[in-house]
Amino acid sequence: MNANTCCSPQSESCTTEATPRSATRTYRPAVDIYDAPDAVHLVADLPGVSENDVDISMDKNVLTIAGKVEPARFEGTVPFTTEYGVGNWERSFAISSEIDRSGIDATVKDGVLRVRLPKSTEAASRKIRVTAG
Amino acid sequence: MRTATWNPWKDLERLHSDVSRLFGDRAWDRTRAYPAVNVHQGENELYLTAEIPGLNPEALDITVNPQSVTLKADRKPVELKEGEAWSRKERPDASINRTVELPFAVDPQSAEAKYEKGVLTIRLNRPMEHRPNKVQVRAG
Repeated sequence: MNANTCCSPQSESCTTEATPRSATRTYRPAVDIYDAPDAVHLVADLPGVSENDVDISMDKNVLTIAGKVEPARFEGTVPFTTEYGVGNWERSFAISSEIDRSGIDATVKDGVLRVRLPKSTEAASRKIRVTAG
Repeated sequence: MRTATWNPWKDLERLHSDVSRLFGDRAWDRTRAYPAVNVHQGENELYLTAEIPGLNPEALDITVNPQSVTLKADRKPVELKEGEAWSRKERPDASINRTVELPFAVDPQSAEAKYEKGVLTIRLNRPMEHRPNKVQVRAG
């Protein structure tokens, strides 16, 4: 199975990133995706996002990850260097029918979101058969 | 007859957008220094912030000099087990070694750093002896 068909970014639906970012914009996080025999793993950088501020939703075959960021306020200061802006994060991915939607789980630690997308038993065993053959 | 004016910038924008889509927007980011840093300047204090998600704060080495701050760290990449394969790899796993110049001299002893939700924030203070001295004008 090609992992890209299992979980592929939907570039057209994603917000493009620009520098500097502004507080009102939504930005597209960098992601790593890797394919394991029993699941697809998605790792996304969402700096500034805590576990309570992340939202993962499934609509038909589209998985959307979103993170809300509360920009830090430094009273009485002005920007001297602005290499990045601060805003919310959002990105969508096409999910294949081989993913068991009821078993998706996610964790957030130190601004990194990890989503495990388990393959259905049928898809996982098919993968094993291909490997053994 | 209706005529259209050729706008070369539109063509360039379209080319940029096509190439971005081909390689991913982050391809352009790789030429930038990592991590990106913001510095906010107050009258007597500076706040330096950097987005470095997934870092073990104990592995972060921060050196504060009067005119600059140096950040060093190894960001632990995701290591695949047997039977696993990448289908997309965008997150940077390069080691960090970055020096940022400051807008005014600071007291290195006064630096305070915190790492929260993948964001590093360092507060730096202007040395007491460099702070502007307000002079009271006495009535003559």
